[in-house]
Amino acid sequence: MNDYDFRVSKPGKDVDSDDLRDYIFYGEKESLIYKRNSEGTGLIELTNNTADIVHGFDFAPVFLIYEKLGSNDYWQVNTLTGSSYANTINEKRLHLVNDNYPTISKVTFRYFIFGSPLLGGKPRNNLPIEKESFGFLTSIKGKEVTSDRVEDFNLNSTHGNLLYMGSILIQVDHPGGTNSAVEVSVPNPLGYSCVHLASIDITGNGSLIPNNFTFSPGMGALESYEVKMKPDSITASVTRAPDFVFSTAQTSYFKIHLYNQDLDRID
Amino acid sequence: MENIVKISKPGKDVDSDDPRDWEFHSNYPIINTAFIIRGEDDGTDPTDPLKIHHGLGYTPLVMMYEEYGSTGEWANVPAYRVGQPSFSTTASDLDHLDLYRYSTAFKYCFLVFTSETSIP
Repeated sequence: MNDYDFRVSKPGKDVDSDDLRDYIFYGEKESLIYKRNSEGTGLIELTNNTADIVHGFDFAPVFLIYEKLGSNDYWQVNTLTGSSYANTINEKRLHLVNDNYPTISKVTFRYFIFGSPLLGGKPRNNLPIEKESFGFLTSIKGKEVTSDRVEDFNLNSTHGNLLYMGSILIQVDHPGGTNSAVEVSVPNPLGYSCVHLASIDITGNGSLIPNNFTFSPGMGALESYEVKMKPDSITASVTRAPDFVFSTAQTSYFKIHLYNQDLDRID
Repeated sequence: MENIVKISKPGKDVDSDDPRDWEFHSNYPIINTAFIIRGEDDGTDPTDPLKIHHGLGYTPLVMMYEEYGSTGEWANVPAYRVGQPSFSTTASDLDHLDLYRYSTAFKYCFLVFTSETSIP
């Protein structure tokens, strides 16, 4: 036990447990905190232009982007696709672009930039943060709770973080052959489009891959797995090109973790 | 009466039942990383996946970021891709994740969350 620590265990679990799954909050571990202003989160619509979000850190931080493509009414996690490096971050700014224009007329992005560096060992300059008259702060292990740096905290009520609200499991049975896309929808238990992260078991063997992706092994074969988030429903989508590569039936599982922040609302 | 600790967002009622108004709630885990694993692959042995040790003993939720080239530009990596870095977790090995490499050096950063994500 450290001299200074703050832990909250789940109901019925020991606060001295060694199992990290037993905790609501574990002060020795780093959480994801974002600034509650445009440097930390925002909504942006792009057509054939780009946008740079200056984040104010002097390191490349962890980030998360969601997108609505064209006239779609659902959100998806934006990740690297193919060899495209459209949306990236460096030590100055997050770069957003609609790289599919004009095929896709516009893209709406929701972004989160967290105070955790992607590259370790980089010296950081002090970064003043707003401190209000009332707040609740816990610093990460080895950092002073009086620090003025966003990245030194794992809980800071003057900034934003993500609370895990639960997860849902969706099974998608794809028959293979000539059927190219199968979608399964379930009601959204939160009633709004929320931040989410997914793990996908594409072959039913328990090995997991993260979030949405498209896999093209060549010769026209295409396989894609997507999570589509709407206020009233969450959809798991499996698309498999009707060729010899994907001719057999396949069951996939989507485990989708839901967090409390609303993708359509800034607060 | 249930005992809870709750912190609302600035300007929000701490008695609100709307999760969007909460900054902390003792019934709902804050997103916590078990480990942040940073490293660099030199690109000399892209054939077999590199075993990255996390030692949790269960399948955690993981996110991966990649710096491409030496540009200082980082991207969020989705999953396995032909000829480019990616990763997966393996049901048969609960203490590691597999990093798929390629023939060019690159830097990576894994966020290994405390959340379990195994499929029942």
